[in-house]
Amino acid sequence: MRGGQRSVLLLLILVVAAAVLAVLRNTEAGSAVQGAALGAIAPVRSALSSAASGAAAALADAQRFNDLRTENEALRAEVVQLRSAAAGVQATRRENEALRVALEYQRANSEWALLTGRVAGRDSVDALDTLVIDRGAADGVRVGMAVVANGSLAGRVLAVTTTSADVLPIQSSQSAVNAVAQGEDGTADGIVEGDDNGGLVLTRIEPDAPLAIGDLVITSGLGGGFPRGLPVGRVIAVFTTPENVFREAAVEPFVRSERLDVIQVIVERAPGSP
Amino acid sequence: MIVGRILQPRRGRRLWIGYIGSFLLVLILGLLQTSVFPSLAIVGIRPALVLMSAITLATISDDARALYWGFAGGLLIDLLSITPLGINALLFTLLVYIVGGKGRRLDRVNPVFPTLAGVAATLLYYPALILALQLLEFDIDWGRQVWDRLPRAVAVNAGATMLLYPVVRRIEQWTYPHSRARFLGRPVGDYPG
Repeated sequence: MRGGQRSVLLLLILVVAAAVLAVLRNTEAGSAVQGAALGAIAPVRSALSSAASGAAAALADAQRFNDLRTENEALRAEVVQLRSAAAGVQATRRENEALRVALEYQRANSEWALLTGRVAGRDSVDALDTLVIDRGAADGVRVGMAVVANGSLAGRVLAVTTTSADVLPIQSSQSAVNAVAQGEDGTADGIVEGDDNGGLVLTRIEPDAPLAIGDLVITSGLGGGFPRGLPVGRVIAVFTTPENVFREAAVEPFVRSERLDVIQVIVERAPGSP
Repeated sequence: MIVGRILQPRRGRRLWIGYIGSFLLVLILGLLQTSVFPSLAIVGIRPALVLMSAITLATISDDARALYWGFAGGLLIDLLSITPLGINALLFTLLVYIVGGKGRRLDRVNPVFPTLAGVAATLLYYPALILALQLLEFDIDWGRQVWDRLPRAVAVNAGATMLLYPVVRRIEQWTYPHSRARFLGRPVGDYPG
C-alpha cells in the first residue's frame, strides 16, 4: 500500500472514530469517559485556572494602576485648587476682621477723621523698613500723620506721593514718638523708640517717675503730629543703669509691622472735636 | 561526535521518548488552552494552541503522525471543553489532512509556511466549528463569533504558530532524526540530528 493510500485510510478511520464519539456523546459510556478524563486532570486544571485568574487579576490591576495614577493627578490638582481657594477665604476672613476692627475703632473715636487703606508693599530700603500704603496725597494724606492699626499706633507717614505713602513703623530704629506709661501709681513720660529687633523701648523716663511692668504705654500728644491717647504697647521690663540718669523700659508693641494689612491714617480732626 | 553517539539513545527508545514528549506537549497545550487562556485571552481570543501545533506538525512531518496528533489533540479539547465529544477530533483531523498536507508540499524548513497554514486552518476551523455546533442545535451568534472574532483569531493563532514552530520541530527532529527537511516537496540539506 502506497503512503498516500495509507494516509487516506488512516484519515477515514479517524473520521469514523470521531463520528462514533460524536454519536456516543450523549450515551452513558460517553459521559463516563468524559467524566473520567476530566476527573483525572481536574487538580491540574484547577491549579492552572486559579493561577491564570490570579495573573489576569494582576494584569487588570496593572491596567487599573494607570487609571488610578491619572485620577490621583487630577485629585492632586483639585486639592491644590481647593487649598488655594481655602487660603483665599482665610485671607478674606482676616481682611474682613481687620476692616471690622478698623470700623469699630473709627466709630469709637469719632473725634478723628480716619482714612482706611491697605499695605501695598514694603520699601526696598532695609535700613528704614518702611511700608507702602495705597493712600496718598490725593486722599488727603500728609507727611507726619499718625497711622493706626487695630486701634493702636502703627507708625507715621514719612513720605507721600499722589496715590501712595511711605509709613515708618514705630518699631523702626528711626522712629521716635512721645509717649506716656500709665500705671496704677501714676504716669511716666518718655520717648518710644524702635529697638531694631521688632520691639520698642521707652526712654528718657524720669528716675522717680512711677513705672511698673504691665503699665499701658500711649501717645502723649506732645510735639504735635500724633493725637494723645493712642495705644502703643505694654511695659514688659524696666531697666536702671548707673551711668544713665534716666530709666528705660522695654515695651511690647500692640501692632507688629510685619503683620500689618489694613491700616488707618488719622488725616485730620473731625469737625467740632476739641 | 563520539560523545554525541554515546548519548544518543537507540531508535526504539528515541521513538518512545518522542511519543511521550509529543503527548506531554499536547496535554500541556490543551491545559493551557482550556485553563489558562480563558482568563488571559489575547485581544479577547483564546489561541487554539493544540490545533496550531497539529497543523505545524503536519507541515513538517508525515501524514500519519500529524493525523494522530490532530485526532488526539481534538479529542483532548473535546474532553476539556463543553463542545460535544468528537467534534474537535473530527475537525482537527480533517484540517490536518487538508491544510497541513498542502503546507507540507510547500516547505518544511521555514516557519512562514506553517504560519500561513495556521492562518488557513483558523479561517476554516472557526466557521466549521460554529456550523457544527449550530447543526447540533447550539444557539450561536454567527455574526459575532465569525465576523467579529475571526480576524483577531487569525492574528492570534498566527502568532501562536510562530511560537510553537521551534518546539514542535525540535520534538519531530529528535524523534525522527532521518526525516529530511524539504522545500517544495524536494528534500534539502543534510539529515538533522
